[in-house]
Amino acid sequence: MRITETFSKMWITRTIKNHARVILLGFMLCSLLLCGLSLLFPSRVTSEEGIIEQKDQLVGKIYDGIKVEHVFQSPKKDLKGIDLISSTYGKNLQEGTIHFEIWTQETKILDYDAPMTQIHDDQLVWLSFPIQGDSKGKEYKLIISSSGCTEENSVSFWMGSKKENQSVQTFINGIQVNGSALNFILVFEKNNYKFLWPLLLIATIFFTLSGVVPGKKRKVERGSTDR
Amino acid sequence: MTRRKNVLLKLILCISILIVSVGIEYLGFNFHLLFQDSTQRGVLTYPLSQLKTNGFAEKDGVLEAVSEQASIQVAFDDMYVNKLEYGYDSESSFKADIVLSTFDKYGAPIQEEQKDSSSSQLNRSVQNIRAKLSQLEISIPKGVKITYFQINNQIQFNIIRYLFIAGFLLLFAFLICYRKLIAKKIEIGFLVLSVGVGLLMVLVLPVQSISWDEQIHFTNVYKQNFTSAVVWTETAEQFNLVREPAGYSFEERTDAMRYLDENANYHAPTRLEEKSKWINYNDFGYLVQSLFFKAARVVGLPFSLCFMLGRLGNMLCYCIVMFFAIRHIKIGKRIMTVIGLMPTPMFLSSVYTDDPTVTAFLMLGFSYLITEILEPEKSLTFWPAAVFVGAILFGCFPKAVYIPIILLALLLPEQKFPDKRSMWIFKIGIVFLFLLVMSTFVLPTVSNPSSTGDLRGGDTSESRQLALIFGHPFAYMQVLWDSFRACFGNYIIGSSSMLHFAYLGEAVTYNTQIFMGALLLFTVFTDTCSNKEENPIQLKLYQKGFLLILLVGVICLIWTALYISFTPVGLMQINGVQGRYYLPLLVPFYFLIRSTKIRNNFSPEKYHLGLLCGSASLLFFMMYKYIVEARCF
Repeated sequence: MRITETFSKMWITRTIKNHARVILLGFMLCSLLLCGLSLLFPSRVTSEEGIIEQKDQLVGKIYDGIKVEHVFQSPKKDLKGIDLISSTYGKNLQEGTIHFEIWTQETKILDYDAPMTQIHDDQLVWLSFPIQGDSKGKEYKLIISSSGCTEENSVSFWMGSKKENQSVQTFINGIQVNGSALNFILVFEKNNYKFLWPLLLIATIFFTLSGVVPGKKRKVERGSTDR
Repeated sequence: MTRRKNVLLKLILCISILIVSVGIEYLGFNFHLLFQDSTQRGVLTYPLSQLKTNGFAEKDGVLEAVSEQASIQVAFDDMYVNKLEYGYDSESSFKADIVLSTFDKYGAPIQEEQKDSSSSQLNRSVQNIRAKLSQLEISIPKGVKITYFQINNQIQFNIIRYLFIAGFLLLFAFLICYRKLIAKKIEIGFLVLSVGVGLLMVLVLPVQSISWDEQIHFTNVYKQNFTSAVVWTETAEQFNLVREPAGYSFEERTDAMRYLDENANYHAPTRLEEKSKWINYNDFGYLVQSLFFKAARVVGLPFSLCFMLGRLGNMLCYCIVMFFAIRHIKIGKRIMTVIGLMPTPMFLSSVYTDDPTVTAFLMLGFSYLITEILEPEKSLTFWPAAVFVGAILFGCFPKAVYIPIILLALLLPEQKFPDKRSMWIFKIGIVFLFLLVMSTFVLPTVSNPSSTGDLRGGDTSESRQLALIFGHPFAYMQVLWDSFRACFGNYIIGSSSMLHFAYLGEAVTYNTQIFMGALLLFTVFTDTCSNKEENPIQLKLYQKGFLLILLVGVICLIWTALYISFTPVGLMQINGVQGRYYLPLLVPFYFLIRSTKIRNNFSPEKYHLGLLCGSASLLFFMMYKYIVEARCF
């Protein structure tokens, strides 16, 4: 039994040593194959991008008769939603609804009524629509209005100072707000290749180590230390 | 027989040290109290109604501060006061000002001021006074209620102080007793000293975020020790938001730990957070810490012990990896030992951070790589190559800026490989590995720079800063050079990288800095002790030149990374670079100036003993001054 075990061990060791480079290159090819698969079938994740960083003023009370329009350009493709930051002036809101619409130049992509009771102070309001594959560089218009809301029972949204080059504009009843715009976060869907880099790294490690695998006899005569 | 006698003698020595330590703790640290009048010893309680107060209102047996500068005055008859203790009830953490009327060494009256920080989660404050007083005045902020007031003049046996003294004496005794072994294998001296000091460090450090971004690192470790859903307890939340209670005396420390243990109830979490089962490669540096924390949590140990064991895991990982690095390296063993035992790297190894993983694994990789470079006649085999490639990559996962170090492998000569083709495969692979790791931080920054950087830095913007650098490359090089030059000395041989205990303090006194600098330079210039042969091994000039280029490259990457992410746009200096970022570069840097021209005729026994005792003295001094005295008395 013991002799068989020793023999088996020796045989395995010898085989591994003799074919070390092939084994390593095999591992490398497997890793590369997995890299290819992860490239072909990436997972999908959401990514967020804040356009206005500050949150320093409110757009004002939104009640019946007030209409807020917000025009922006999407910097990336695959836009799938917008987050707005609400304010209720610290109150618990009663009846009424807030109406959200999002338009491209041609079509309406979102039509959503949010009950006032579901809107809370300093929370994100998530507006979701079908993924816009061609959203990069495209202009969108968000329209916010209300029904059944009064000045006392009204909602507002946070705004922030915008930089000169930012292509966002906010209008209240058709009048443009100077220097500021609605604070919003654009949410995109994107491909995620999280396994690509580690697999590539593993493949490269196998490739590198295949240069120093055991069992190879040196062809060059050993040189002296001073060479 | 002699062997048995030796063991017996060592056992007697250990027991004697433990007994002597009791004496030092009991007599040395309670000296004043032992000779104090018996009426002034023990706990002296002052009824609240009899205290001389200003701005307080007494209600339901408690004193409430009703004015902004409410104060309590207590007069003493030149009495030695050990500790001031008072109970409080406050909705927020506060700081009290204490004015002590005491005496200088000539007996002349003087006034000293102290700050007393109290956490809202606790309900008593214990402040070390340790002075003879004629009067004490304490100012309390408005709204704080005082529930009791007393002077604690009890003779105390402080277990932390006792373990510190015993540990100090035992480690020095070990170094002296085993000096012959250490003369042959300095790495054993390193291992025993680092683990011994590390254990003490873990024990004496408060259970609180006390190091750079420790709350972030702890949060990462905490998340990692859950598989799919993170169970956030009240205690863990407080660490996450840096609101955990702080203790500045032995009693406060005990109270804080009790509070944390009581509020770490995993069956009543504040929230559950979904998490991926995969561990990101950036977080590999936390693996050992989270493993130790998880083991302690699964066993059911209290939170504070789990916290300490997580730190212990980090420390053991650092010490063991550094031990193998020192053991393997062909030259510069003492340089690596002394730098590895400097207070800052030892402190960092005993807190939650991934810095020790970076430093230790880069040192391990460097050690194997340098040894291969110095032995051109020996073939490069699979395992050493796998160790240095693996160790450098593992060290670079948390901080990829150090990856240029791997390019040192390009110096391996042709005769180390089976044939020319193998050499090219290996070297091309190394270059690819370098490019792959570089791509993790260069590509995202260059291809898709964020409109903001790290908001802690102020008006930061990666995109605008990059545009500025590309628009004015020469001006940026000047900014880089000025910033680099201004900090070079401090980061290479100064307190920032060697004598810094983060938020607990930095040794900026000349005595400590000169001692540390002298110890380090002495080691660098005399680390040739065992090289008795005619041509001792040394890096060749071109190898040193290449190493210098790589080091400069890493330093430029560090400074540039922080200029882009942490410095306000257009600033004429670079913010955010700290001495600890240079730690993995110090051994390679000192290899540049290591010379074999200076012959060292010390016997290895005395030489190694001297170096280790020097390092131990520095470590114990720093620990005593900045941790034990400040937080454990």
